[in-house]
Amino acid sequence: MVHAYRLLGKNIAIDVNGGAVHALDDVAYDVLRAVIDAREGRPDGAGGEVGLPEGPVAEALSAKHGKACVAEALEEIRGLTADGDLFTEGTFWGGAPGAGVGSSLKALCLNVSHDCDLRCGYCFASAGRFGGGRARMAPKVAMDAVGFLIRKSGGRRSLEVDFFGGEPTLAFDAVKAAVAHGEAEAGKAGKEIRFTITTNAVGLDDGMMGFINGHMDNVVLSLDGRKEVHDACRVMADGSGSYDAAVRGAKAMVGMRGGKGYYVRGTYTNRNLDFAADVAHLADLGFERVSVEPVASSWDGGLELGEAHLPAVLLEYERLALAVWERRRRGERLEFFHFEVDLEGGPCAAKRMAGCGAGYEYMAVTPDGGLYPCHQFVGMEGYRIGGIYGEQDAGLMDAFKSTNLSTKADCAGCWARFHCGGGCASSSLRYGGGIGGTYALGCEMERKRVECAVWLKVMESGGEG
Amino acid sequence: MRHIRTVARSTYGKGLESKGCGECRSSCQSACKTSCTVGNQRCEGAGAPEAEAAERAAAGRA
Repeated sequence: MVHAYRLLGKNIAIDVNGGAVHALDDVAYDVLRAVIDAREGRPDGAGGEVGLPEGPVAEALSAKHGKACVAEALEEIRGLTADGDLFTEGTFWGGAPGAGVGSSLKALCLNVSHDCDLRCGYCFASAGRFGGGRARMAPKVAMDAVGFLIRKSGGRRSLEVDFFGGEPTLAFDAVKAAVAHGEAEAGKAGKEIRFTITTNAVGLDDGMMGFINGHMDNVVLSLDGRKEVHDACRVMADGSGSYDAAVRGAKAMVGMRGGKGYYVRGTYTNRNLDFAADVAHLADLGFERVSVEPVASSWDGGLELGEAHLPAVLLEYERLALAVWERRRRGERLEFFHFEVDLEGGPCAAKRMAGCGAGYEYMAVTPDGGLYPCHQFVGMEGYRIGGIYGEQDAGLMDAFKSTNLSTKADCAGCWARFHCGGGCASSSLRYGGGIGGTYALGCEMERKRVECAVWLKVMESGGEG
Repeated sequence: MRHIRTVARSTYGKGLESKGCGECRSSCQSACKTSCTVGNQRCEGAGAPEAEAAERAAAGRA
């Protein structure tokens, strides 16, 4: 399968099963489109001759571009196909994702605080409570969770722990205890744990920031963008906006990081479909690593994204790609998370098939030590895997492990499947009828983000064509 | 080539035989927590595709 598209003045082809990317002139683009049309109806990945059908299609192409140019372009397409960079056969399509080392536990999201100092209008966690009461993880539970991760990680060397919530700085004693325990124990087991934290930045003090900077591989700071956008949703318990405190905290934290990892991460809703302006605002504040995400859900209603918003959202991603490119051309550094596709150093086929690994290699831990497939499933009836202290539901874990790209019917015909990995299990459950379904709206957005990301790579690779 | 410029060559085949080494990051642990994306994770295994690409470049194929 080949995805050929025009975006922002460029003709681009993505070889779906191999990952190759090509920039084409107008002749090659038209010829490739005709070749793709001629192959329509073949099973995905089928080999066979690359050619143009005799008759009106070939004649029209020759009339438009000249017979010699069409023949040249066709030969180039044939050459790339022979080299394995176009129409690659789907040799691994249908294969099971990682076995052995790849199926053991790798990462935990520690919900150290089911409590938050903000009352964000779009919070999928219901102001940190995840549908339950307010709770904070005891330091011992946090330490035991890290021990559980090490024990269950099999042959993996690189492990991950993200401190999440709610707001994790409200349970910073648990954060510090988990880090100290992990740093002491991982080495003994021949492993390394990368710690990350996701915080609203409102309550960060010097002590917390020093600790985070010293021990965390990545820190995710929640800021939605423009003050009026941020304050419309991200409010304190008394209803006042949190923008000023969050910007102050985020700037101080990022100022400490030097070359260490961070992301400033925002959420957009149907109230700021012009979210490229929010990315621009965050960049203007001096943040170089930014992500904005579509709202996951809306517990008070009215903020969610729907079909009616899709055209504006897709157009906005194009505007954002152009804006990122223009800033980079001016010499500014700006990374937008979803546009940072690594075309040659990206994940292997097995990872692309397995996706996020929720439910078996990635799980969330609640303050009482309960285990869920991921942070989005916390508190959801029927999705508690068990606990770090007791048994785990092997059947439920297997259900997640056996649900992957190759089992999702909707993914079979999607050109972006190996960039997305099958999508979010929680969104699939909520909107697609089960974890084996898909979230159609999210798929549309993901495809546009990939198109934009690849467009940026084409622009950065220089040259014409 | 006159009409097509290759920006990146195929890399996906690498790693399939080994079923993945399991060393790369979990996609939802990075920045998003809402939008699953694997394409922007980096391979961190010993046989990383980037190493493969480097080998090809050295061999004059890239």
